[in-house]
Amino acid sequence: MQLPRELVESCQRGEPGAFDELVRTTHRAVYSLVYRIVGNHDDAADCTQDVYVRVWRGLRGFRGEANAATWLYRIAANVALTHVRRRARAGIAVDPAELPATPVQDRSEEQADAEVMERALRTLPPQQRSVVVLKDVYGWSCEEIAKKMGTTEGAVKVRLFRARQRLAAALQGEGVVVPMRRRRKSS
Amino acid sequence: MRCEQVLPYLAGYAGGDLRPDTTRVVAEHVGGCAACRGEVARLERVRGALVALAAREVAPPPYLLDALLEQAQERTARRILPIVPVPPADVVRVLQENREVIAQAAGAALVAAGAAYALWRALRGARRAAEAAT
Repeated sequence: MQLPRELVESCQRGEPGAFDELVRTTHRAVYSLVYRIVGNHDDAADCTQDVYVRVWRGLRGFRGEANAATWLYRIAANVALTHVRRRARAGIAVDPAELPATPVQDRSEEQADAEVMERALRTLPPQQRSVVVLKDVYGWSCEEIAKKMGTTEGAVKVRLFRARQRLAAALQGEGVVVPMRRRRKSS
Repeated sequence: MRCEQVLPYLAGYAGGDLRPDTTRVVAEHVGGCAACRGEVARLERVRGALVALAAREVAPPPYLLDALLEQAQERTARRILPIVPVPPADVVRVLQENREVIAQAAGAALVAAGAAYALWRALRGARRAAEAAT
């Protein structure tokens, strides 16, 4: 996502149309991050609206120390993680049937992997999904994720490793990854 | 080490997320085990696919952009403008440049507060004296 710092500064000065421009420029990337964490379109749309309310309120706190895109992604991830926590407390599960299956034939290897991966992500438990999305897709550190999720770095790593293994199994199930060779004991 | 012992660490190894000492132990095993090398390759491909997702966007519902813009316009129409932050260095500079004026204003405020307090005490004393006399 490209978010010029000048655009954020224009928003801070209240220049007409600046905030609209910020929304137009960034909403797809913000929506993508939120959707990958919350796992369904309705909630992702609600969360995205919440993100921009917080962005508006948080404009005065942005002093340019951080990259503007990083700042916006942090707000988006906070909103999405809060949503996931609330759903978990309320015991609401995500319907895994929402995303239609995408045929992977006649596509490049990377494209097929990516499409299967988007689908496979939704089958993960929300906590594992949040961790693997923030770490492997958006490049957050385990330490930062642990802080945001209110847990330990060790717990984040356990979720991360399990998520990667489940995703590998999901890809293998889709026929995207060549199955492992039969495991032999070695010393 | 046996594969079973190394297996829980392969996902971390594939992503470079293990501590250096653990990485060394796992690397030593993987170097001599074709099955675990295969598993690492599989996990690396998973990680590659995840990294590639960052460049892909999930299409939002068609109504979303309009809803977001409407929300943004409501805020700008109500003129709920954010307060532009003033860097601390600027605050210090303004204070230093206007030190004398600020000191005079503070002195005047102090004198006025003292006078008001003295007046209030005098009036209260007079009222109490009048009450005692009656």
